[in-house]
Amino acid sequence: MSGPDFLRRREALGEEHPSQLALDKLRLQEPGTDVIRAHVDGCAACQARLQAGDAKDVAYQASLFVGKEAHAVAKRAKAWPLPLRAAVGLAVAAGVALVMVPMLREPLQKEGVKGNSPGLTVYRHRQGRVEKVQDGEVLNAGDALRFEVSLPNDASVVVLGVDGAGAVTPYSPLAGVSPMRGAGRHLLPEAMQLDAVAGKERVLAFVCDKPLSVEQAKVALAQGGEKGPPERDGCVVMTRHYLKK
Amino acid sequence: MQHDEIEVLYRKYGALVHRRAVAILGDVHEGHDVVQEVFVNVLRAPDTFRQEASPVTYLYNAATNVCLRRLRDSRRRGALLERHVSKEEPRTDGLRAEDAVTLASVLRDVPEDLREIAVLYFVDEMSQDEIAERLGVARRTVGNRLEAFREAAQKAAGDSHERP
Ligand SMILES: [Zn+2]
Repeated sequence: MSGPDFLRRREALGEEHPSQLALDKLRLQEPGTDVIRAHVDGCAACQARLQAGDAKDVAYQASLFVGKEAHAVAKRAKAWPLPLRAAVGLAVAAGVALVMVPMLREPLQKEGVKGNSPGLTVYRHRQGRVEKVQDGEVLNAGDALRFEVSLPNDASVVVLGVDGAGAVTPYSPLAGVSPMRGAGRHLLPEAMQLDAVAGKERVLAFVCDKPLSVEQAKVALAQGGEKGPPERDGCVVMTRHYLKK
Repeated sequence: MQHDEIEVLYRKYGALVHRRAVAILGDVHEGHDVVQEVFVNVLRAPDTFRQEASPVTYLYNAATNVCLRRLRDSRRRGALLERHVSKEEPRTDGLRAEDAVTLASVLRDVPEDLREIAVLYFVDEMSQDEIAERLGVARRTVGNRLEAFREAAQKAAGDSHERP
């Protein structure tokens, strides 16, 4: 058969596998996806499809923070019609993309990975300045946080935030399975701008030697309750505590 | 819809809309435009969105509509062959450049009534039964239209390869 590759790819997949739409419902944890989950758990092809989509999503999130792309987004934000500029445009330009440009220019820790344990560094962007945040520090609503992990070995990293009311927010990745990253230092692509809910704020970084999903990290967190997630083979959990004003 | 709410939605669903738009249009930057447009539509009808049982399904449909309209408009503007994908631009969609361009240019080249079904099958990877149900047509009709699309696609791809 001749013609472009994509004409054959769908047929080669077979009719019994869930659609990309179904995989996205699963990825974003919509209700009623148990059947899809069961299929994916037993299907290597669909696990690969899910991971391929995850990788694109991570690349997209990352692209929002890379200077050139961020400037393009910001430029467009200025040209957008009012309703967009007022909401989405500002959200992207101020809250996510533009804020992060100076962060990338700041020197990150120069030293390599020390010892055999993973490390977590939290950075805060506040009023044009980027600083490392120490454990126990006070954070303000509107601070933007980014996370850098140092990995002694290949690992999958999921970062969750827990606010004073116990609400859990995925910080990185936003959903789905976190890709494996090589040994070394990694500035995670996502940024999180803190909301106005005051109180204690916990940041937990799960570092596992196998791909870990946001969903799995949440389950581990829920099982551990106040004491934090239980130790699990192949996973290390790092916790930071802050106070938010 | 509050600023915070739209930002949360954007952060949660932006990547999904972008991924599909790039798969359909073959252009990372146009993908960003589609994301903006889709979220503007959400802003204009926030209650419709909030009441959706499946936000993912809603955004799939919204993205498809925006992309198909863009395909129609670009054709009308005669932009068909002026498109280029710069080699310097990093591609973030994971597709090989030739693949994406071919899919996108083929979608632009085939008759309008074959595009939606092609998106549902080749991009969304729905089964033919799912597509039949979704479009309210017989399964055989789906097969026939996909066959028509295949022929048109092979012709379009062949034509574009012959161009200098
Ligand atoms: Zn499968």
